[in-house]
Amino acid sequence: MRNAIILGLLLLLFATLGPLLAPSSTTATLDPVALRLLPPGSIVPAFTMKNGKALPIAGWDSVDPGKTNHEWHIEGKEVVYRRGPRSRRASLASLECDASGQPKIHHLHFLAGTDRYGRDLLSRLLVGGRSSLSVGLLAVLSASLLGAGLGIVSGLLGRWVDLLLSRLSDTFLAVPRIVLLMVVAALFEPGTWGLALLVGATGWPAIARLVRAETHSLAGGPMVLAARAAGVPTWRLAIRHILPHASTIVLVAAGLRLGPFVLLEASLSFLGFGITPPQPSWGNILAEGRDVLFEAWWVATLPGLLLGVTVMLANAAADRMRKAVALKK
Amino acid sequence: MMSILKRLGSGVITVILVVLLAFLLLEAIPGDPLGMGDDPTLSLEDRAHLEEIYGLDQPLMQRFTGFVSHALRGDLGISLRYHRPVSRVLLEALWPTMLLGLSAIFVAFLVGVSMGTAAALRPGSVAAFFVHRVLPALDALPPFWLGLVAIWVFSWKLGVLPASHMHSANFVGLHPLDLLLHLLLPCLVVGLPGAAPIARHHATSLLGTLHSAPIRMARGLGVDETRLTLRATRAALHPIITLLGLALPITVGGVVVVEVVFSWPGIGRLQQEALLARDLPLVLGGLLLIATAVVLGTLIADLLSAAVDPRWRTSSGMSRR
Repeated sequence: MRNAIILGLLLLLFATLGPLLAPSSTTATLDPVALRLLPPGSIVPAFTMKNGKALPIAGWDSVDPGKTNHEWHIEGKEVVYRRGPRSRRASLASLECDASGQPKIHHLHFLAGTDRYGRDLLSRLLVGGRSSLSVGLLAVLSASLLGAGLGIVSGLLGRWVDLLLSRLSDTFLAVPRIVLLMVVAALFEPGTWGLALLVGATGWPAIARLVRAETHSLAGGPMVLAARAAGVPTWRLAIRHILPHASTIVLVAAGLRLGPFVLLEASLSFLGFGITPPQPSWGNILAEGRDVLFEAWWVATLPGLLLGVTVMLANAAADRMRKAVALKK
Repeated sequence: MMSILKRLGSGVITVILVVLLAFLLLEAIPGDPLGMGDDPTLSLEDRAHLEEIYGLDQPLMQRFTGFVSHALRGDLGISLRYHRPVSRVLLEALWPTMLLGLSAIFVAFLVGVSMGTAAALRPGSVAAFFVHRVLPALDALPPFWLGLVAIWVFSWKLGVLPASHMHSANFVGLHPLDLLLHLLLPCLVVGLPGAAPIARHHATSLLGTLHSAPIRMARGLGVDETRLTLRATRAALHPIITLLGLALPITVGGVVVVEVVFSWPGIGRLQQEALLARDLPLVLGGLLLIATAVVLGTLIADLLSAAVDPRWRTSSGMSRR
């Protein structure tokens, strides 16, 4: 139960608060030269400009590339500071200064470091988590709705409908889903919500199978017989009598799908067919991290760890749920 | 025998459905199948000529049957990107993928069964910890991330294994040792997570078998423990082969992604590049090949699991007589 609660909190945190918690903009770059690939925990001093923007002071240290150089001094009416590989000058008049005429300094914190465009990685991870998780949740929702609907239909109607749907679900189960999704996502470029629906649309067969089996076992029982004798129409039978019985199965199956669906979205984004770059997602942050793997391990490692933790928690929670339901029966 | 034919038949239907589905999908793509957009230098006659070459002037159903009848003869059309027959491009990429996929399945099987056995014999040991904690954790991590971390650790920090491709650049031809070194990381990245369900399943079922009445009886009669374990392992083996067959689509999917991470010159990377370049004949051919491979693999797994299950043999022997 504890896992489920932790997971719920994490999901809520990312899904709702992510963008609010994010310390800085995720798409606009502050300073792509000075702030490029800073390691996690970096604190960079910055001048405060009169227009409210920050002017980071971060030169590359030629001796030790891992360290940044924060030196600056005043020459006449200008400050000379380091920005990336070279010295830059800024007029004192454009900066906020204190009473003694010294420029005010504040500090920029990069808890998770920065990416290669100098963007704050923590902000991108928080916002990216929201897209990854909401795609996962929406995909689970659509897969369960489709799976439950088609499962009941094929279980109740039988005959050729059942045959057709079983064949179709066999087909879907036979092709690796990532391959199918790659093709569809690459050729149609569906956008974030379309992607979620697509992932859901290929995820229904496993759920439909379970629901179909349950419907079959119910359809031969006295409850359905009595309902039919009382003249209940088939659609009403499906919604009012079969669906409530199948709902626990759908719930457990859906819970077990959440982790894999989140991974599926991440894989697609990693391959370049999912959520497209200016908008962050854990998968495409990882893909960008691949290009700078040997310079900056944190860009690829952190989203991967978050993905792993999320999937593990989702799996553990679903497993608990499955056991709880099994105990009740 | 009948059941094998029936399986084969349903497999063929599945492959045809996949191709039909892919055909309909490609039909619905927005844009121009020739990839020329509205190129002003392309005259109407030339366009008509090109459409005739690619058969785009024919109705959908006719193109579909045409594709199937050509595909049956091994002709999948010409790749737009490589300007070579799709079948040849795919064949060249097939054996690297087969090599990676089969060795990954081998690793999953070997690690799963051995670790599962060890965990069942000694609950609470390191092996049990590995089976119940480490492998499931590996299974939950994204495969491409595992690949990147493996590259970072073994190729960058330790510098002991190559980071990508199948051969070192300075070698020409086939060097078994060089190939093995290149194969090691991608094969473990696909195989170890794949071992997780096998190990867990094997540990549970072996534990059950070891406490079953026949085994207790044999132990009482003085049969030694090693022999008992071997017997019990054999009995627990056939659901594992079924499990491997069921996990085949997932394994193939994993191979596709990991091929991209390690720049492995296989079907997965080919498919990704074909999609990025909108090389539709190659995409269609790749889908057909992957679906066929998965259906065939599942069939083989079914046959194998039947072959190790003595119950199946006796019943079929009875029916034959």
